[in-house]
Amino acid sequence: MKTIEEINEKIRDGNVNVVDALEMCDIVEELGAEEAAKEVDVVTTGTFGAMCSSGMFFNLGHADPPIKISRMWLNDVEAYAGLAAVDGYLGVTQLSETKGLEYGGGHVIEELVEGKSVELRAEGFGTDCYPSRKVTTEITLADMNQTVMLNPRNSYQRYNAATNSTERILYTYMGTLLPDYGNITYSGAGALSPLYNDPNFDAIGIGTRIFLCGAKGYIIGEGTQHDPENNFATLMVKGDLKEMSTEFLRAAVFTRYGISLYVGIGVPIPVLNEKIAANCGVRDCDIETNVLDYGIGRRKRPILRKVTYEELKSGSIELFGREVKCSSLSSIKKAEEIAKLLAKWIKKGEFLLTPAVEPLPRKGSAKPMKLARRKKRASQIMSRQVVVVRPYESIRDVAKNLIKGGFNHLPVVSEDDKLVGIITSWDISKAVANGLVDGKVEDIMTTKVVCAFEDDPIETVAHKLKKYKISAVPVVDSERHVIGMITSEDMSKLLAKGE
Amino acid sequence: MKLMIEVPKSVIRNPIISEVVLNTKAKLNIEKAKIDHDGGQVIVSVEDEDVERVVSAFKKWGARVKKIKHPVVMDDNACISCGACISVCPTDVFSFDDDGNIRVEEEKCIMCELCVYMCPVDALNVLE
Repeated sequence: MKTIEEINEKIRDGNVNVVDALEMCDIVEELGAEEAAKEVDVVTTGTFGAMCSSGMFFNLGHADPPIKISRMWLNDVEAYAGLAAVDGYLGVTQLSETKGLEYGGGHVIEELVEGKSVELRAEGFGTDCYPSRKVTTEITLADMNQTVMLNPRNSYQRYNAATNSTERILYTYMGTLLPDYGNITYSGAGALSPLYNDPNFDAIGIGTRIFLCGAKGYIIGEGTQHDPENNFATLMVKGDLKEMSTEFLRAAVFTRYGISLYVGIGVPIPVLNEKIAANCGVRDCDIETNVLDYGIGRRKRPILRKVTYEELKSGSIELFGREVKCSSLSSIKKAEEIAKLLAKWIKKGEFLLTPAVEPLPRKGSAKPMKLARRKKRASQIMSRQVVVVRPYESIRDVAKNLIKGGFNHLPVVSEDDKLVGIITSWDISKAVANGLVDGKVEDIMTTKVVCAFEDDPIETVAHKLKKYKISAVPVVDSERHVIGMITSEDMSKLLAKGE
Repeated sequence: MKLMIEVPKSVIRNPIISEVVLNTKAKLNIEKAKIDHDGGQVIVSVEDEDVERVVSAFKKWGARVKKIKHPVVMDDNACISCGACISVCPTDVFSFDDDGNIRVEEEKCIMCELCVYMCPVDALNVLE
């Protein structure tokens, strides 16, 4: 057993033993946790990934005549001004009002840290004590008073890997996802992940001094959506932007998604006991995550398989019998650099450890949003009287059915009742015009059927009808059994009823 | 080597590629082609020893030919070595070297630009 004060004493004396989390894996394996705990004083971790929940609090100083700012923009990116007169908060994902998806809060912060000046535009409504109504100026980080990076949610313990089942390219915050499971992207530093090296928060907590974008920062609490019960713990952190470096802080653009900021975080783990040492022995092969289908635009995306960071980092994994290439969105190289740099600071006596004033919460999970009115689902509005036909039926018989039933669309199902195609009155008319009435359904049916799932929100159904310019979709269950039909007529009826 | 050939609209209805192939006996691999009302733009790759003959054969049709020395260019200062480009590239242009930096094998590039859209830090550009 060691105390943080004893470790700090060693740091001051210049005989502290610091290793990074990757080196620690080998030490724990070789010596065992008990010996490793005696041997090693501090394990440094690191991560460098896009962290959207980041931003800066700043104080501009008072203008003369003074202004109580009610709205303001830095390089056309709006900062929150609902604070005292000249305080603001700029979030990294806030978009430029002139450049849109190409430039945002992340870029403004990067430029400020680089030492560049940005244009400040501010409006106020004028009061007796703050008579000015408008200010436009150029301003640098050095010109401002406090410039605090304060990130509500950083350093995810691990993150889901993403892929895409649909037939089109998806542009997401997980990068470009190619159609038909064309690639997999993931994020997180795996064995270097700060929170995976201390998953029970035995060594770190509120008040822990950390490496934040090249400067000293602090853990100030659990991050938003902190979900330790499912190994999705997060951190809330702060640090002084004036001391940071663009080496470890970079604006990011995710095509057609928007702006984020790469944030570099390194957390030193004091090896106070055997248990902490054992946890720092975690390897990529021990950290599992889920491959999710981002083709499903719902909160709960289907889990396609489990995967370890070791498999992901190998460059490809097997998915549905195929090798699919994987790539990381966070930089493992930078994460290693951070862990090594932090180790160097500690060895040189430039960085002392701080004890936590409170541990991070070990319980809790992230709840979904409460929606006052539950959204209507496809299964609630579909008609359940569906006439289906078989691929081998004759077009002539089907034509009779269409007329008798007054339908325009007939789903085609296989022997095991799974959806294999669709045939419409238009297909039949075409067949008649082309003299094909003696053929079979399978000759003229459309096999790429746009369909809805029973729990799709009706907005999704409406979107599909519009996107594919069709007037009806079959509704299927998870095994592609047809359980209903929704037509554009059903949708207009809903609208007419004001739903 | 890759060549970018711009064909003027006045000759666009001619079987130019076939003529060039027949006349030079060079093997052309068409990487990309776009033909519209304004003319045509084709990117082909050619064996190095055939380049000059192919260039002059296209020029006879009044085409403008540009040698593409670097189909894809990476800005080393901007790159953060995340490797996001690796999985979207259909021809495996990108990989990690032993130091964890991104290695670019530009000769494999077909200039599809998927990596350009993928790169979160704007470190990649196609065609220079």
